[in-house]
Amino acid sequence: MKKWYLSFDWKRFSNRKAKYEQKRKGRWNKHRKRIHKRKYRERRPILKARHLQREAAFHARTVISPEVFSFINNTQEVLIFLNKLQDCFKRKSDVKIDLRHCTTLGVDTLTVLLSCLYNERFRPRHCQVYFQAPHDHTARQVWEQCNIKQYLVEYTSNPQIKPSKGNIVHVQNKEVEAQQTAELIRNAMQDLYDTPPYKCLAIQTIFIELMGNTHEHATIKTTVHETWWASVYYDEHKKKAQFIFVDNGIGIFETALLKTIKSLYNDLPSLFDNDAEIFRDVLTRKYRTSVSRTRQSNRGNGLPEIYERFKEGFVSNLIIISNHVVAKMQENIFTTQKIPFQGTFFYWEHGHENRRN
Amino acid sequence: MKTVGTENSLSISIAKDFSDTPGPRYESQGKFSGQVFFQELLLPKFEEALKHNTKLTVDLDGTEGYASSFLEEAFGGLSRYLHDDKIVLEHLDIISLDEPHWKEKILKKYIPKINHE
Repeated sequence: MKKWYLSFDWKRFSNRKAKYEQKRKGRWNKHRKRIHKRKYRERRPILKARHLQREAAFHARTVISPEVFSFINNTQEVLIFLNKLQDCFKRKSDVKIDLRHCTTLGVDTLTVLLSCLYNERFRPRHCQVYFQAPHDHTARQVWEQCNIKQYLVEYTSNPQIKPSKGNIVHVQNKEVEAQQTAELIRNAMQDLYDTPPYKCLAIQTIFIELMGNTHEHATIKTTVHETWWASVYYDEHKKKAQFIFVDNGIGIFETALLKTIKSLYNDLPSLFDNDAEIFRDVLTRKYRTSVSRTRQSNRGNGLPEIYERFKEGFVSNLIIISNHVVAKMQENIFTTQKIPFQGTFFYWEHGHENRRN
Repeated sequence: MKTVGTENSLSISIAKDFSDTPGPRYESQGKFSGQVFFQELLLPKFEEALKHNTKLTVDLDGTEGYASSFLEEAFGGLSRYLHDDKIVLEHLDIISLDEPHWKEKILKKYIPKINHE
């Protein structure tokens, strides 16, 4: 055996085998490199984008949300948060919204946030927004149902997410779109009731009045129209549908009241000290004809009509926030706040006890 | 759009003949406005009712809901157009079983009192 290994034949065989193996491995390595290169070429833009995104997120300014991130229950802190956010956007900086410590997340706040982030006066198009989702289980659930990220992906388009049972549904438009809100109501009613009719005429009235007000009064220029946002969320625990309507216009007090009442009550300055009281009178039709922007006797029915629907019991827990005024109808509280909300916010609930038809 | 007419009266069902989702006051504000309803349906039918000296019945039921501005523009507009609230009230009948308060508002509030002196 030893002789064989020392023989010339073996050495020749061994050398040839080694050369062949070397060639084969070389070929294989070349092939592997080629595949790797091709794969890398394909993945490079994705990796680059991911890298840039991570870097941008790292450099983005962080704005921490309040623990109770609810516009109806913690209005002032949410407004401070929104002002901080706007400051960052004014500096043309990307923003990372940190929701990790938030324990209460309201659909109302998310609708307001969405309306602000879509508003070009609030956020320039090139400014990116990143989110850090809440750690709290309930808040996380609302966050995931809201799917706010999906809206922010396509910034320029008009996203329409298909309504699905139990989820939060948002719609937006500039015109009065009665069909859109009717669908929104139907969606909520199907969650709420087992039997048809899946509609609520009073809520549709409220929506049309609000859409009409936004279209006509939310901007100073009559040719430019503000976008409105409407959301509905079915709260399974409370067995109630929550409705939210928001616009980022100039607000109720900038449109009608302030200017008109100033001219009406020039001699009695004490009367327009309290915007909240004036707002109460507008809702109860005390200043209807005189306060309406158009000053026509047949106009200015919108807000009183909404209040009447609430009084008749078709909706409950009606909350209105506009400029300096916060009106909580259920408790009959009309207050003024330090930090104003630039726009109009309406919130109401509808449950089994509100069903009339 | 179609309207149903009988020998003695004419009728319009907003849900069937116009839209089940009536919209705002003016055409510029959105679809199915009170202005369009007035111009395209209410006024021609009301004139026809006047011609035949019958009543026009407008059925408000079956829709998803109304805004006050829609109804005011349509019915108030009719009264303003004809400059006579008495004729309008004489020849107009409203059916609103779903929301009875609209009938009262239209007849007492939205159709403005016009001075006949």
